[in-house]
Amino acid sequence: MPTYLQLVHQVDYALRLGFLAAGDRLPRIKDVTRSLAVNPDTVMKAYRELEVRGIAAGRPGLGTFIVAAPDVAGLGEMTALQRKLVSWLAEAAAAGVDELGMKALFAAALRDFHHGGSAGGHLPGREVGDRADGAA
Amino acid sequence: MRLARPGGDPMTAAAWSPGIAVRMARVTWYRHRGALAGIAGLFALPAAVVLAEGLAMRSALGGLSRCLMTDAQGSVCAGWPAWDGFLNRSWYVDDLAQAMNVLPLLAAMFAGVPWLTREFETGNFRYTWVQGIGRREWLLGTFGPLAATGAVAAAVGGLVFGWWYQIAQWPSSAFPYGGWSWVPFGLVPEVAVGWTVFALALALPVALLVRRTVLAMAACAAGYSAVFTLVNWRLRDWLVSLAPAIARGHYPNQIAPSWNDLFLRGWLAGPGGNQASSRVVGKLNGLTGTQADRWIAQHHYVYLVAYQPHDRLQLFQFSVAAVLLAAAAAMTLAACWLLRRHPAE
Amino acid sequence: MTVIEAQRLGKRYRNIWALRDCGLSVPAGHVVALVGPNGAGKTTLLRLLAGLAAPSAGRLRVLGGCQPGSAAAREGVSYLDQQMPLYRNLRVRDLLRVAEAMNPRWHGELAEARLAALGIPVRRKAGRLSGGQQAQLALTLAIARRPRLLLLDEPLASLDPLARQDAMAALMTSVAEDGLSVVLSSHVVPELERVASYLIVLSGGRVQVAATVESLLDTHRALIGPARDAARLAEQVPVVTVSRAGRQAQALARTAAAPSGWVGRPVTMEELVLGYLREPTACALPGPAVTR
Repeated sequence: MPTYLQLVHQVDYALRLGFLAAGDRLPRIKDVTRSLAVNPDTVMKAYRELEVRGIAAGRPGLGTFIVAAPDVAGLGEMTALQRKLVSWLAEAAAAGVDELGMKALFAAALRDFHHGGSAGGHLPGREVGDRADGAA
Repeated sequence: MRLARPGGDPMTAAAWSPGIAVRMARVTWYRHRGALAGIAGLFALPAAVVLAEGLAMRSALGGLSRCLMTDAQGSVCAGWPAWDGFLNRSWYVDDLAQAMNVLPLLAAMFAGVPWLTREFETGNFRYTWVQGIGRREWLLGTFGPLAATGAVAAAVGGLVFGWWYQIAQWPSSAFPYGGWSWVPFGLVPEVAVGWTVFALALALPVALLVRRTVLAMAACAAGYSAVFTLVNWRLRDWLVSLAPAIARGHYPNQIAPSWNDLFLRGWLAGPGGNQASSRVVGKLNGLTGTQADRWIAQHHYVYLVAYQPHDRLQLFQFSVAAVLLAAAAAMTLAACWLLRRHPAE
Repeated sequence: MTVIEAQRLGKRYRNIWALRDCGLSVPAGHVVALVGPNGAGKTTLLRLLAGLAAPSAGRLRVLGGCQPGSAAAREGVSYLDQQMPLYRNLRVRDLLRVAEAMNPRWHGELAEARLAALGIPVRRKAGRLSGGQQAQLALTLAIARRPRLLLLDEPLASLDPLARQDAMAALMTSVAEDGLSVVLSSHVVPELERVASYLIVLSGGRVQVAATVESLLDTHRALIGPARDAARLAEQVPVVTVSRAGRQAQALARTAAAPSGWVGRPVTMEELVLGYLREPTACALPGPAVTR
């Protein structure tokens, strides 16, 4: 996974786990560069991606701040979704599909979904694991 | 969207003061202290030895002259041991002085060559040549202190050697030609400085061309020997043959008017001024000394000698030194030219 | 500012062309990864940039128009050779003094602070330091000149992983704070993705790839598809490499979208570099510059 995405996910997980909250300031690019030995461009790209996703916003001269937690569905919705997923897995197992096959099926379905598949609602044309378009 | 402003720096070329020469002198002091000390010691140690020898010879001579003054009967003089003391030290002076002539070469071989060849052998030039200092400033800035040290050491050494050689010359018949012989000629301060600076300068293009320490040392020795031969047995002979003084001599003695003049040649000049023919010379050969003198006077011949007066010796010494320094400058220029074309891959 | 500019650059040793017909136009502020097989010309290119050697053909300029090896270039460019030249018979403290004398722009306090932080004793002779300490010392001497372009020829190879990380961190900080440009010749491909923002691939003395990492990752895809279509793929998109395994074929192609019948995914730096290295005839030379 590209480094900048790793950074984005780190911020994402920190938010989900409660270590970061709205209003917190993200570390300065210089400090991240020094502590992780990554190219400052990479850090910049990560922060831009966070801005695109609406998680963070930059304030000139002050830094980059968390503005909102990532969209998280309610706890009840999550439980219902997981129950549906388990029943699908049971169906697949009964049809003789092994674990790898299940993963491949899921990946293919996700791909189709991204490309505007039949289930309606799609994200703009991307491929599997595609990054956000990074042009400034 | 650039993150940081580019690193600007207010320091300009004016920050180079107090001057590249001083900076490079510092660098040379730190990097090549051994070479500088070696050059100084190379002249200082023999000078110290020679100083002791000279003092001993002087005291021996002093004892001898005291003895001769007090004991005029010519009986066994208590000063004979002093005379022996003098002789014991003086008989090898000429050999030792010949060996001293090799000191400039040793300075070049063991100090003047290695500092440059080591720079290539260790690969350090790939660090040195990418610093703020330029290649030429680095070369000249290192050579400068080495040459200056060599010049001072050679000058001091030359003074001591010259003083010692003169003491040994006291019985003048033992050392014909005074200071004109190539042996003491090369030890005189100005000439010693010339040889030393030239040798150190010769090391520069040699090291740049050869680039391996031992080979470069050998090449330097070869080059120096060639130039040494050229100067002492071609250049000097040519120089001293220029504008000689002419005086009457005493046929057929091949000596100049004064013992420390340099005799060049003697010839019989006829009434018309031209040289006597071999027939005349042959006739004179059969006559005894006084008969020859009478014949010469009767036939209005004159025996002339061409020589260089001893007060011109210093002029020749400075001339040779000037030639050597010019050769040193030429070597340095050659080195700078080679530096520019150095592949440095 | 174009920190490196080369037009038809060539360098010949006797009869062998170490570099041939190289064109480069690298903007300032990048960390340039210089990759290629041994003998491809990386060291030659770095030495030309440092001004140690002169080109046999073509033109090379650094720092926006300075000739490499000139006084202006030497002031702004620091070079650290593969063999890590140091005056090994000098004490560290004297090395610093000599460096100060030889450079108009020298930040001694930076050097001393860095050496103190690394625990390198200043009274010891440089030759007596460990290999890693010598590498750190050499790097310090290069950085304390506060160059605008830093050329590193695999000097971090002798550092242990932690020291390497620290050295990289220091370099990256300098890139962030001072806009330093770095050219890093490296064999360690996986680390390039973290640190590099520009990639130059040299192969057989020629430039195979010269572009920003961002544009390369944007314009290349790793494709998976049926092996029977592998032969036709080259007609559909520019292909760098293609390999077959059973009924499946994998390819690296220079395209923004997968052609029909193929599945594409973004390519990693490592895959990109290895793909081009395996196929010396393929090349990705700079197109329109990505403006920021």
